[in-house]
Amino acid sequence: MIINAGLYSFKLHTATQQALINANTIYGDAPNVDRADFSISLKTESYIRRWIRPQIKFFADASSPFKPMPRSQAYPLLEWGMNWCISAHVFDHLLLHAAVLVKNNKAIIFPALPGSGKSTLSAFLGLSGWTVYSDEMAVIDFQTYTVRPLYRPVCLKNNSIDIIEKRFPTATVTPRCFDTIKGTVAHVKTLKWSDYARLESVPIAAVVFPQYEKNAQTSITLVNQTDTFQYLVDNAFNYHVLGETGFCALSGVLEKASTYSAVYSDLADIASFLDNEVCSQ
Amino acid sequence: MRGKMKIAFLADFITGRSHLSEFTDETWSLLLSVLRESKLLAAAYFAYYESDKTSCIPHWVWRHMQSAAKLAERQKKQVLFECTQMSAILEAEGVTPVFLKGAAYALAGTANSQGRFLNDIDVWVKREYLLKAEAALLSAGWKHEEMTEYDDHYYRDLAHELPPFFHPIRGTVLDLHHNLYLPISGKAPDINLYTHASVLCAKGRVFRREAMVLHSVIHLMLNEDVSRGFRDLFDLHLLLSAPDSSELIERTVALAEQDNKLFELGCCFYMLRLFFNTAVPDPFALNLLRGSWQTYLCKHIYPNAVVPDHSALTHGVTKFAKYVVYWRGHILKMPIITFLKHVVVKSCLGIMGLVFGKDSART
Repeated sequence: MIINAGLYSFKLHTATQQALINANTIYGDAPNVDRADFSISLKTESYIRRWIRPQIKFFADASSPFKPMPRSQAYPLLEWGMNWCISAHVFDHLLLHAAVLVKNNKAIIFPALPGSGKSTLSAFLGLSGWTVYSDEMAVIDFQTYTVRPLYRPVCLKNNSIDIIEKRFPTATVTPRCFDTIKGTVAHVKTLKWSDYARLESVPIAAVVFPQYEKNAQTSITLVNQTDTFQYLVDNAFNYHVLGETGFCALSGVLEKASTYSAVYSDLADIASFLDNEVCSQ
Repeated sequence: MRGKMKIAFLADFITGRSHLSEFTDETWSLLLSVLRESKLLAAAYFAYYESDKTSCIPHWVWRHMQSAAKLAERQKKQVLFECTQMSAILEAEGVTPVFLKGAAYALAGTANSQGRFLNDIDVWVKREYLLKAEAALLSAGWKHEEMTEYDDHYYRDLAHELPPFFHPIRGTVLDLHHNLYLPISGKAPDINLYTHASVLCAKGRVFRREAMVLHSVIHLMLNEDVSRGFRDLFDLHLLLSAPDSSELIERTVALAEQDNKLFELGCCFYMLRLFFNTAVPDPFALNLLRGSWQTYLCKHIYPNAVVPDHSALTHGVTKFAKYVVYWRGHILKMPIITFLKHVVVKSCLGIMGLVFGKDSART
């Protein structure tokens, strides 16, 4: 099958039945395409490990960038492998490790701090009227400094799966995979293809560093642009290759974007701030 | 997808001989995957970027070719920086380094240096200066990769290079050579024939062109690992397609004759004509290949062995050819008794590592 993820497509040669079912759940409404930017597969290399503690390995072309994982974790491995393909091979855009949420034609970039609740916030906003351009990477145009959409799900981890399922009982969520390197994970679909097909590149209005803290009052602080620049450089996938082009793109983004740090415990409260203060029309 | 693409199709594409307008999206998808795996995607960009055929390449393919070219150019920049640094470190100790393979192509600005991915830097110094050069590099912050005592002995006493170095901050990997092939093999080149009249480029010294070509031939033909063989052959095609190529070819044949490497050169000439239609002489007409075994290797084994390891290109015959080259490469490296001892020791260390953990094999 060819997985049509919008900006990029992936020819999946072999995979487990469960991974195919999940891929169909997430990407099944996207139109069929013949082109594939990347050739990928999920395979078991060792004959023994097909039967004893079964393992699966991700391949991009004939190379395997990751160690094998338990067969039951095939779908998360597939999604992470697809992320790897883009981050390791794409140098015609600046790629930042961040989620991107859009409202009123304004994008907010949420750089990825481990344990910051970025994906929970992405899923919550994505299912509450915002558009998730990406949960994992911001794809930024060198010339226009706008961000482009990817047709990908949000990867929820551990407690956030329950939070989102409870709040949005009709949301499309893949079955949980337990004991992965990120704990229990499930992928939630926040966009239909019919909505994705209408999306365009949008300018970046803000960079927000979210930090979930239990029982915390929502507090918003302006962040120094130099520190933000350095943080984004450190968390870019391809800045080291782009050099001057990457520097100019990032400078261009930060010239027009506000930069905040946001501590929160209430998803609705932080959503309200982003709605009213950052993305209001 | 086994056997879905012929190697000639790949060769035609990277030499600009394909009818691109006939390609479907499916063809482009497969080609993209094959080029990526063969490490030729960036080279393909440079093969087409000034051509009027670019308009026949779909944008979604072209952007990947451009991306690959950006990565290759970034690597080239880094390698040129490392060459400058290394020349300064070694020359301060009175050691003159000569850069080899990818680094040499980048320094000399040869046609094949455009879009060529670089894994490591290979540099040659005179054997008597080897330890001095090692000490200079270590004191300048370079480190050796961790390895077993046996592997360390293998490099220092049997191989043609020291254990690999790496730079802990920049991540660059460096191989410091004193020859181009293992002296214990009895097939190591007479190194003076190669280092003679080396050329000083802006950022480092390299072999003169015919020595550069013949080193590339030796690297391809004497190694057991030919997974990058097709890329190496494409290097040779571009090196030997330069404007002064007829004189270069004559000088390369003369050097191969002096160093007893006529079979290796002849086999490469055969493959260059077969795959790329390169303007090199017919090795049979020049009598470069002698005997039925050499002819068999040249016509049936090497052209199949150098096929990139991609499931669209490989099949039973290529796998058999790669197997033959793998064992030929190992057997050529050292006398058979030394080789058998080497295999036994490596196997024992491997088993010890599996049973008792990797650290047990380090002592």
